[in-house]
Formats: sequence, C-alpha cells, structure tokens
Amino acid sequence: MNMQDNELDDLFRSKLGGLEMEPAAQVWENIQAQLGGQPKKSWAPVWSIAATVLVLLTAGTWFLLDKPAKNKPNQVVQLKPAPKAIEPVKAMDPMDVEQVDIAVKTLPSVKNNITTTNHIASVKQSKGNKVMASVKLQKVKPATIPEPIVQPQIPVLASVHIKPVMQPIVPDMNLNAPQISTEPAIVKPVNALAAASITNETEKKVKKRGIHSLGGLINAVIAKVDKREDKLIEFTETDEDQSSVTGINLGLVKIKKDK
Amino acid sequence: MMFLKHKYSTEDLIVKCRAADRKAQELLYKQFASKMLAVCMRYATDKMEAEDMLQNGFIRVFQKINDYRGDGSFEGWMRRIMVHTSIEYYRKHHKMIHVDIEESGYEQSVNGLAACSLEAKDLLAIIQQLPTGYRMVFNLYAVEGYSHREIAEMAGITEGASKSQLSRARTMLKQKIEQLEGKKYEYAG
Repeated sequence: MNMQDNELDDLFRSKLGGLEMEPAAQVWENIQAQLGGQPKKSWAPVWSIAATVLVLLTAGTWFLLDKPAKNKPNQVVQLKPAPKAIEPVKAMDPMDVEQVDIAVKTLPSVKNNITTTNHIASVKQSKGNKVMASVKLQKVKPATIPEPIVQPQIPVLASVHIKPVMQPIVPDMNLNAPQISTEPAIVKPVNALAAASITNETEKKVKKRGIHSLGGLINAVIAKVDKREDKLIEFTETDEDQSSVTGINLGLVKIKKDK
Repeated sequence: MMFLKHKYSTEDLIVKCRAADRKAQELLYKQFASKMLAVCMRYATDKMEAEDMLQNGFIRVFQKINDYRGDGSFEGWMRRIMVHTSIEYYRKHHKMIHVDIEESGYEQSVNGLAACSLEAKDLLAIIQQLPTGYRMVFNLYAVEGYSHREIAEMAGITEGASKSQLSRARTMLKQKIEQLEGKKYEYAG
C-alpha cells in the first residue's frame, strides 16, 4: 500500500467522516413504534368531559331560546317546570285543556274564538311531563273524579260560553284540540282536589338521593337547575368508579335507561 | 424541544435512556440522528436505505445502551453500532456481493491525488455508486479504520477478500474522481 492510497482514504475520511444529514421525521416514528409503541394515552376521560360539556351547552342554549316563548304575556296558562312548586293554576292544565275540548265539541260557535292550534302544541311540548302525568292520572282513575268538581265549573265556564258536558275524555284527542283563551283565574278554584292529588303524586316521584359518586353529584347539581322529572342528563349513582349516563332529556329528544 | 435539548447533557440522557425514558430517547435520537445518518449513507445506495439502517441502528442503540460503560466516546460507540447494523442490513437482505478472489492481485499503484476540490456530497455520490461489497470494505477500512481481520470478521468474508475488495474499490473511486475532476486530477509520477 502506498501513500496514494492513504491519500485517497484521507480524502474520504476527512470529507465524509464529519458529515451530517437530517433524516426524515418518519424515522423516529418508526423507531418509537418498534420500541414498544407510543405510550397509550387514554382519551376516554377527555372525551367524556367534552361530551358532557357539549350536552350541557346544547341543552342550555335550548332552554335559553325556549324560555321567552313560554313567558309570552298572552299565554293562557303559565307553565313552569317546577314540580315542587305546583300551584293550583298549573295543576289545572290538563283539566283546562279537556274542558276546553268539551266546550269546543259541544258548542261549535265557540270555535270561532279558537286562538290557534299552535298554542296547545306549545303547551304540550314545553309542559310535556306534567301534562302526561296528569293525563295518566285521569286515565287510571276516571271514576274517582267526583262530580262536584266539575259541577262548580258551570257558572265559571258559562262565562266563556262553555257548557259542561260529562263525557269520557280521550287523552289523545286533547293533543289535537284547539284551545280557547280563558283566564287562568277563572278555572283556578275548580281543581283543588285534582291539584292536591297531582301534587302528592309528584312528591312521590321526587327521589330522595344521597350523593355517593360523581354521577350523584352531577345529578344533584342538574336537579337544582332542571326541575323536570326526566333531567337533562342523569347518571347512575352507584359507588362504582364508572358513572354511566342513564337518561338524557333534551326536550324533544329523550333517552331513558331503566334502572 | 430545543429548550430541553440544552437542559440535559448526553450523560443525563444516557442515564434516562437506560430506564427506557421515551422522552430521553427522543432527545438522544435528535442529538445524534444526523451524524449517524451520514454514517449510514456511506454504506447505503440511497437515503431511503440509509434511513432504514439508521432506524435499525437506533433501536439497537436503545436496546444495548446498558452495555455502554462510558469508556470511549458515546458517539464512537453509537457509530460502531450504526456500522454493524449497516453491514447486517446487507447480510440480511442478501445484498452482499460475492468476493472476487481471482482479482485479488494487488492493486495497481494508485497515483497521488492532487488537492481534491470535490465536495462531500460528490464523494458520497461516488461511494454510493460502488458495488455493495466494495463500498462496505472501503468504508470500514478507509473511513472507520478497521483492520482487514476485523472487517473479515464483521462482514463474514476472508481477509484476502477484504483486501481485494478494498483494492478494487480504490481503483473505481479514483476513476470516478478522475472523471469528475477532469484536469484537476494529476499524476504524481
């Protein structure tokens, strides 16, 4: 071997020995994958929080947008979604609807005074739970409604040209029935008894719960805000680590898992 | 990332890498990847192949980092792993060209090279054009500084074959340089 060979070797060694070249980003990703994969980050908690926030925001927006409609001054019956604060006025809702229905049937002339069908639809929607509950009550015990309850209505309803007619009321028909503008005060005294029974029933439905878990805590907080029977969102309240959703009520969309 | 890079010394990173700390592994990789890729480039025919070698090399570095005892530079240790990995890459992929023993009559005297104006990238291109076996032996002998016996052991060839390959590699390299340099290439005598 002669010097020239060394010269050649030196040339390559000196020029290439200290060379640097940037590898593609993919190389590290491959190395990382081969070393045992990227440490798995569990996104489950993040997603569950994000989902809850999304649901709350959606529902909150829905409530805010929906509220002004409920509080229109020309609303016949003030409907508030507060089961604990049931007043005779509210308890009257179903009866009111029914009686109006009767009136409409029996007195065609009154139909001219019908406000709108929309009105009733809004009552039904916004007041869904209570109307349903009340209708249910009537379905179960139609005979228990004492005649005297209806009787006092005669003079009252007469003022709006309604004659009391005792006939079976089909709940479904109420949903389609138009409504007449009536003063809440007029009907107010009529249904004291029915109101009382509804109140009792509602009270039974109020569940006494302790807070044992995150689900329970969320339920308690939501219960403060959402007074409906089917809450915006309900969780299981077991002491298990994982609380799962048992019910969602977005007004139009309701999902309820039986416990 | 850059901030962290300055925060840890290579020694710190090595200690953390021994505990398979993923972040430290990444920082160590980022610190040495470009140098090590250049090593692999000399053994590969193109960058893609070199990156494959680099990948295998770093995996081995992390797997064997407990074997590094701190005697000698860490970079040198890593470089040796890269070289071994590159050789293994060819052996694995059956790219090792057979050794042409008949041609092992000693090299024609290679004439002295004048100051070479070729850039590193030109030299790299030249070296990558060599047949695989020639390239490997030349790299191991001329750039890395291994003896023929070591090369024979590493590459799984005979010492004679190593010498033969080196000789043919040099001849080819000089021809390539001559072509590129043109008139700049001069005969020493």
